Amino acid sequence: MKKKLISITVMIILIFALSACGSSKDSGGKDGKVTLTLLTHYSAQQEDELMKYIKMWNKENPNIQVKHKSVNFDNLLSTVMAQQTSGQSSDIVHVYSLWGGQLNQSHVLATPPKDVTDDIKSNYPDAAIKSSSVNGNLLGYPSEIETYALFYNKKLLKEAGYDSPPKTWDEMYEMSEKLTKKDSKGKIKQEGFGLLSGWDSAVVHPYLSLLYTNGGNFLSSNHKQAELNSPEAQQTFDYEMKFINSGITDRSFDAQKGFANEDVAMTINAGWWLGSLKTTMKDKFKDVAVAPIPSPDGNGQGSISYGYFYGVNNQSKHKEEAWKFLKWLNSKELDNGATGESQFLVSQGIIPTRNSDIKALSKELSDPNYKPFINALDFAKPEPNIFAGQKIKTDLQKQIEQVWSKQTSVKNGLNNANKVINQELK
Amino acid sequence: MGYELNKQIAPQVKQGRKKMITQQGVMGYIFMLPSLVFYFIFLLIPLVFSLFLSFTEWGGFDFSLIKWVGFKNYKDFFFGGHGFLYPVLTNTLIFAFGSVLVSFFIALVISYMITRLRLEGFWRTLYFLPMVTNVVAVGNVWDFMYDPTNGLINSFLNTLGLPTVKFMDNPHIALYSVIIVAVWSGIGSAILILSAGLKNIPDSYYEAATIDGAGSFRLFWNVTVPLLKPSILFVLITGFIGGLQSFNLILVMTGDGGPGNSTNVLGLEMYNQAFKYGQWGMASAMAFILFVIVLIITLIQLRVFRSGGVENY
Repeated sequence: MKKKLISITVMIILIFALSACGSSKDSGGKDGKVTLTLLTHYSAQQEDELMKYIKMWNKENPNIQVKHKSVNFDNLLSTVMAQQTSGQSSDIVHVYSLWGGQLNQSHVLATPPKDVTDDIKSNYPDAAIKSSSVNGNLLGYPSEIETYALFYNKKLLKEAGYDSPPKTWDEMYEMSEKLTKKDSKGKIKQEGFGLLSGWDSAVVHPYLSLLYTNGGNFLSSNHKQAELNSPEAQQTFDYEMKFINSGITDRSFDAQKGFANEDVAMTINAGWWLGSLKTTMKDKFKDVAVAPIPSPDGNGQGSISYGYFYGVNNQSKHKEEAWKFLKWLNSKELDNGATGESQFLVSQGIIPTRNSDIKALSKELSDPNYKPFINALDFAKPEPNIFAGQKIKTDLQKQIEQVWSKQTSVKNGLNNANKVINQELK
Repeated sequence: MGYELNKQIAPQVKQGRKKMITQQGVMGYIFMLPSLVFYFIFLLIPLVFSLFLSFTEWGGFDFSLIKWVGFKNYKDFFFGGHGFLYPVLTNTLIFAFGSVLVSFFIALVISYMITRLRLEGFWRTLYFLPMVTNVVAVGNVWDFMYDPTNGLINSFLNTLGLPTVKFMDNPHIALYSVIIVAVWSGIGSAILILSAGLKNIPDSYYEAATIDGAGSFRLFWNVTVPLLKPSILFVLITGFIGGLQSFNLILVMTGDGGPGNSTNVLGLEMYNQAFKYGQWGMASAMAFILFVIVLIITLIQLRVFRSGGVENY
């Protein structure tokens, strides 16, 4: 009996000791100094730029210091999860809007105070507000927002006798056909139109952007029903498959690398890619241009938008200080009239979202390549950030890939996607 | 008098011995305590917790939001039409059986040959090298080799006048392309164990069989294989357990089990369910289904080998 008691006592002590190691941290010091942790997915090079503004804040606010922590994007959600369950959560998290539903349902994010919501509602475009909201409730400060457009290589188009990008689906197909070059064995040397692959957004977003130009929808307006069995969805997929079936587009051809190597003439991608292409292509970047995504008749407009936002952790003991910092970063106009966040984003080739920032940085954003992305903010449909947002996106990706690789027909692929997604939306 | 004295001493001795045994027992438990605590915290608690989670719905953040749903996750796995049975579970079995059986047979032949070669250590080291190479490096190098545009294998095939093979983009061959890599990288450990087992077979058995007129094949089949059974059992059981749980190579080579779901396996789907979709209940249910599958396959293997005379395991 005594032995049992000793064992149990030791175990209880150990469990308490270990759980104490994982208890919620209090970053408030005895001297009234508060240290906030900001978790993002920014790389070391991006971190250097962001730190300029964090250091500026830290200098101005000696009692509220901000510490930046970065993890790879692939590990961001799992890091937030692990930190949250172990009580080691960061005070501020920079999250992908698609995760909004999951984070909201699990009460991870704190409700912003009224001054913050008022500021966001009156100073950001609708697409940015929707990306940072779940069921109409704002979850944080919109940071970057991405829309999709058509990237094309001016030099390759000119060589094929074209001075301007396509406006209609037929034009895009005809131009792609002419721009595609193959060797004697039929292997593609230059792809007229490339379909990106390798990750969910690369597969799903261009398809949905084309679908939106065709007047179709992914989900019903209340997000309760998938609408992929519509004639518009079928037409759009048939259009994508026309490129694959005719050999203009080869799925195994790496369109992302190919475009940077000037082996792909046209592709659809998000605005962030401009910064990346600029670094990779160096001098050749001058031939890169961007245009709105062609529509069936040249009159339609369509694009998908997704974004990131800064939220404050519900477990944080310093929510007030965290919102104070976020409000400063996202609304305080610095010397050139733009906010610190927008200057950081522009330095990375990313378009800022705050209306006043777009005006203040008009010179930096005067590059005509930014225009299609900025214009698309007015009509782009936000990626649905519902609880099952990530799951339904992957479901659609898998079905698109199965159709691309001819494991199933367009009709079956769309019907399957519709069925599986509807199950998730129940 | 002596009897009386013994009668008086006996209970005291008995008591003393009992006390000593109790003290030794307590000491034993105290020495075992660190490892017991370790297993309790890192094995038993997570095991019981994940079993509990498999009957719930949980988003992975807040413990207070765990919702009991009974057998719903298990029902969804088998009858939900999410593709968990086909292709995910079938891919898992094809991957495990394919990679383990092929690598086992190749390893058996190679180890039989290299134990008869000079520089045996060199050959063993050579075959073991892929085992000490990081799976990320292995996956990426093979991805480059499989590349349809600039890959080494396709360049070679094209030189021979053969058409380009889209190893990782063709859903009908993508899984087999990954299996080849798993075989290549896993063959070393099997060779190491099997060649060690081969060395333990006394030469006298071979000499006796040779005197009786046995040829190379009969020597291999009637002497080597039966005496190698414990090593074979070990290689197959550990290989199947690893093969059924494996997902890192597929994650590196395909990213998401694509194209479509053609290379998706239970381990990868489990990871995605938990960390990507926030469906910890389903992920835990999958983990227990995989546990049962591993258990059944291991028990079958044990039974087969026991019926063949292997009693050591």
